[in-house]
Amino acid sequence: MGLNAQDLKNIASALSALARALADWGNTHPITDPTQQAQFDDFVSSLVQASDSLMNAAVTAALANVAVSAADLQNATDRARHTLKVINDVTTALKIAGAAVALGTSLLSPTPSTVSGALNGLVQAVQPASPAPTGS
Amino acid sequence: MMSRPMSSNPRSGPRHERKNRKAYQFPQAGSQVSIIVTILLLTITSLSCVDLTQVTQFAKSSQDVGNTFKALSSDTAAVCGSAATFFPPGQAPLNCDRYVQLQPALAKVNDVLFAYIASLGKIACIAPPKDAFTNVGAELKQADASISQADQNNAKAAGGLADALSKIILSGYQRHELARMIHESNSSVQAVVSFLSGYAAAQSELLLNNTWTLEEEYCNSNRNQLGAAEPLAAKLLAQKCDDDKARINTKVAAVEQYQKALATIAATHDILDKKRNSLTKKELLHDIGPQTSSLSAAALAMQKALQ
Repeated sequence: MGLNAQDLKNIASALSALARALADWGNTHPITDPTQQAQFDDFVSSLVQASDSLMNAAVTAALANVAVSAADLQNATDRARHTLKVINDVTTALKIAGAAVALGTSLLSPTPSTVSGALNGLVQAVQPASPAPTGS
Repeated sequence: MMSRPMSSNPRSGPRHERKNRKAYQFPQAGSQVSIIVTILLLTITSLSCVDLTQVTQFAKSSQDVGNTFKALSSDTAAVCGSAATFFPPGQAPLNCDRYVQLQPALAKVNDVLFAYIASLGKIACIAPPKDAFTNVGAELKQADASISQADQNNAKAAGGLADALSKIILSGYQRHELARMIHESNSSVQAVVSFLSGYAAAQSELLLNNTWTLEEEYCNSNRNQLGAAEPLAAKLLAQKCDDDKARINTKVAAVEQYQKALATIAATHDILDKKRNSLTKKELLHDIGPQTSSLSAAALAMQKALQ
């Protein structure tokens, strides 16, 4: 039976905890024989080595599992950008409408300056909504 | 059938109406509309964005957590490298290349989560269009100084009403999009948070703990060999080991804060999903206000730990 990401992580954590317990034991029980000390050090470092390798395998396996969810969130973020663009477009449209209101009102009491001023406002509002010229 | 007079008040005859007019000058029609529109504008402004500021605040606090994790995550290869110095002679050290290879993928998953949270915040508090209509009266006055006050008031009132309506429409769209986004992404948020906390952060924590285990064993071994023969060297070694232990413990605490913050983000997103159709100011303040404060505290603790 194959091990899944959670199994690998559990074993890695158990080995790490065992290495930790041995190091703590060594802290309170000094080993005076250099050969025994070297064997003890090798054992602790082997446990750490195995723990690290298994945790790495666990993360790699879990990373593959989470890829779909991460892609979903990426799509949601892209859609949010689209929503923000729509709202910006609506805002631009509102500015155009605002300028049109000014133009309409100026036509109620027309003088050359009110009409030209309001017309100028409308042109300025329309500019951000117009597509940029392409080609040379 | 004859209709009854509008008022049966004996003091409401023409003589008293004239008297009342003297006592109180009714505003002109344009001004009346302006006042109504102003009240309407204030009401709508208070309804549209303000009640979603908790979502925005939640998103902002989350960003700090995400940014701090990046610093923590990019440190793993260096931590792994430092562990190599404590391996006994003849033993192969940890394979630190694996951390270098994994780091971009982990950072990307972290970024995807926090970019999503940031976009929630942006949609939750889009600034309503300003001055689209409300300055119409003043603009006309600028264009023509002789324009009458009544025409200015009419333009201002029409513009204000259009502004108010547009804000209602935008606010509805904003809420709808926010609710849809939260609902569609909730399971992905939970899965990504579970990965970041259970694997990415757990791996950092395991590496830090393993590094200290190796160093402690190195310290024990050398202390035993130095013994009483070289007390100064033994003292200096003990001091270095204590300093390193404190430094590693600080980093472990930062990882744990990150995990705690992730749990808060997952729980808050779940609350937002459950309440997505009734995102009112009162409920949001009650439900996600404390979580947002907790996130801010976690982000601060992480930043302090990494200083």
